[in-house]
Amino acid sequence: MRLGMGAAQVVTVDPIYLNQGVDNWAITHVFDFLARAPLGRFGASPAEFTPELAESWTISPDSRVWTFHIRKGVMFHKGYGELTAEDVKFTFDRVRDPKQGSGAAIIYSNVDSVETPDPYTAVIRLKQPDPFFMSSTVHLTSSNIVCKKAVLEKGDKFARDPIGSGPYQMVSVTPKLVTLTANPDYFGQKPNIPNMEVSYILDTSARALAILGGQVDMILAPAGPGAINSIVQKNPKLILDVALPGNSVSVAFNLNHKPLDDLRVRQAFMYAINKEEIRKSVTPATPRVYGLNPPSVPGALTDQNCPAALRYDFNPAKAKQLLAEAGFPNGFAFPVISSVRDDFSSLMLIIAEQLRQVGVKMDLKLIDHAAYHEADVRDLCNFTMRIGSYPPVPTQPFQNELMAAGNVQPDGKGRGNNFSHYGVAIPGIDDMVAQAMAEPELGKRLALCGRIEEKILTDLPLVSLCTTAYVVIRNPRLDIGFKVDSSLGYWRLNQAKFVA
Amino acid sequence: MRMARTIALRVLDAVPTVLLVLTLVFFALRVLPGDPARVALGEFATPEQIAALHAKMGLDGPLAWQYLTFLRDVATLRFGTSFVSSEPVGAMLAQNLPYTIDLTVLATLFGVVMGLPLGVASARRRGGPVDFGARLFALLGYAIPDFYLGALLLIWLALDTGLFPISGGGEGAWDRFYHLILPAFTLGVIKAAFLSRLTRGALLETLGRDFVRTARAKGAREPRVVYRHALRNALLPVSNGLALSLLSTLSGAVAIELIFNRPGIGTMLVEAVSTRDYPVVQAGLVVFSLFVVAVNLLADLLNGVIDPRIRAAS
Repeated sequence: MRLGMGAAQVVTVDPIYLNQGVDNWAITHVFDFLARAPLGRFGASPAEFTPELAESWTISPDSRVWTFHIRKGVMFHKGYGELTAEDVKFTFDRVRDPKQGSGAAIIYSNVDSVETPDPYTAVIRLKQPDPFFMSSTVHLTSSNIVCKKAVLEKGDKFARDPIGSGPYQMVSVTPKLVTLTANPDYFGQKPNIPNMEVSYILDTSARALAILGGQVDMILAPAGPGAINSIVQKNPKLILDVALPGNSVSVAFNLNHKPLDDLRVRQAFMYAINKEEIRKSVTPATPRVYGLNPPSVPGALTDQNCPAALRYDFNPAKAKQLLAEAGFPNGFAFPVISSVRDDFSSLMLIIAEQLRQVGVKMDLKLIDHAAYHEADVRDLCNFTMRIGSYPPVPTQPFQNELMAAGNVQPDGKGRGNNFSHYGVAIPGIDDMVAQAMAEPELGKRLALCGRIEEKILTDLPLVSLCTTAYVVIRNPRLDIGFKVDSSLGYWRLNQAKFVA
Repeated sequence: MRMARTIALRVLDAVPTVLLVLTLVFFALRVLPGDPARVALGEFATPEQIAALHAKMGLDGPLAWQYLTFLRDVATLRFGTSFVSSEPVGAMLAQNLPYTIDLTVLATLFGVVMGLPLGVASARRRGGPVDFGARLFALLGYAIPDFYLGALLLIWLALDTGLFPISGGGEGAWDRFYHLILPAFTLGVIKAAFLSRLTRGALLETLGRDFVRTARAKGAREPRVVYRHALRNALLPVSNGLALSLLSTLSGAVAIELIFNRPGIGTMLVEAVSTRDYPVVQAGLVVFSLFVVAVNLLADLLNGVIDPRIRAAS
């Protein structure tokens, strides 16, 4: 089985140093989680997760103590012995250790301690209750359980020669190819296909040719406008696996910059930007997004529950009226910095054209992607696009993008991606998020998240544009064994088999 | 002995050039906005983590100190480890460089084998159909971008007819060669267009010179006049042009590496620039500048072989 993924080369197969999403395709097959979301979709609540390395688990009533009972007899690859609770503790302690320099460490800041009362029990204590702990932490790439002995023995080489307990084990890693072979001792569903290769094919035409020519069985679909359609037109039998929500696209107004500090101007933008048109412009079209969380995330605003006053359906006349009330009857011009990356530039150009229709002229400057990120974290942007994904945990985007603590700073030393300065320029959100974070009961927490979404849509620190789904184009001869629905941008293929 | 001395002197000549390139690269990278630690850690990085990674990357000291450390590392051929993948840069070069050398050598071979005879035939039959065809080929070769020609050849010879593999670098000697043919041919066609035009022009000029007329007047047969007398004298600009085209192949290889999904130093460099992976960019450019020096040296030596006067002068 051959996979063609969109990156120049493999960066790492060590879960705690994941830096590019496509490396997950190798990682997810080499390692196991304590518990896994149902194949092809997110787990909305802990009850939906299926046992993996943990045979069972218990949750304290305040959602702060999570006790995992580890499966006995799970063996690490290549003779590295049995997996025990000590490896679980090592995995969590390693990612949290500042000396390791894992980019994911901040996500584990709520973990207070990991204890191992016996070799088959791991007790994870949290500082604050987290009914979403499975989605927020256990199911993150960096929570794939690594072999303590192998990490200590191999050091930096672990990233190229990893030892896990998953359905496939590592054969070799070269810059453009990761080769895996089935783990004969796997405790779960043993792979139907004995070998797996993950090829790194950055160029979109090369990837398209690879799937059309049958050189690979699956590719990460190219992101450019019309790219998916042009491939499927050449071979209509190809199958699209579409994982929602994929990446969320939002644009933050810098509330410290005039005239974006004026609520009427932001409301005018909301009415002028045709979100229906934008969501239909991405392939495949994705469901309409209202608040910061896309509709597939628990607690999000959807077509059904979004209040009419906060929908901001396309209405250029109303946008012009609001601009006039704000003192801009003829519109205005404003400078915007964005990234040259295809997805950023194409979406920003659509917005520029839509705003032009109501008299707002965007002087758009597109710069190199790394330079753009340097500019946005240094508070140099006033209309900042963010494209990224979160686990299906509704509080995470609030924490990263809207709370005072996450404000970007001119020296680049901010602690988050709050490009709008919401929480400081317009206070109130921090208390609401803190209240939600302290709520141990899932249903109540979701209701609080809904209220936060409504406040965001009232104050408008940002506009949520759409999501761009993760799409994999698959040869019909490969049956993956389940339907992909809502998911992160990768999934397991040990059930996959070749069909005639 | 004289040859060894010439080579040694040329290598010494190159030291200031390479040093200048290294200095420019070092400072240009650091002036460029974009923080390698931020790129490596992703968007959830804290200021403490970024500071810690700066220290680990050796980016926390004064710039002058970083520069001196960098020069020391280059002098001792220690290129450090990649900021992104933590892999030793030496190993990355060892993995990627052979693919680029393969591609450059075979593309040059294709270019010479196709371009030189075509240029000669075109000059010998000036104004005839062969000349017309060769000039049309040269014009098209000049006009068509390498990535477009590569894509066309891929669709035709790999996707539709299945004669060649679609992508990758191949494993094992034969498979590697099999994967090399189409990308090398793509670059070779473009090189052949350039060389045939260069050869034609140089040969036409030489064929009109007095010594050629003398050779003909003395009754030398036409092939002897063309190949023995005229062509050898026409080869000097061709060899210089070949050296230049060799260098452009190295940069042109980036697009070819991308569409054929080959490993190589070109794509490694492009990716490293976008992720601000300083050690990889620096090491890659050291290799590039050494390559430029080597090609220039080779061209000089080749010129000496072609023209004894140059040999005598050096």
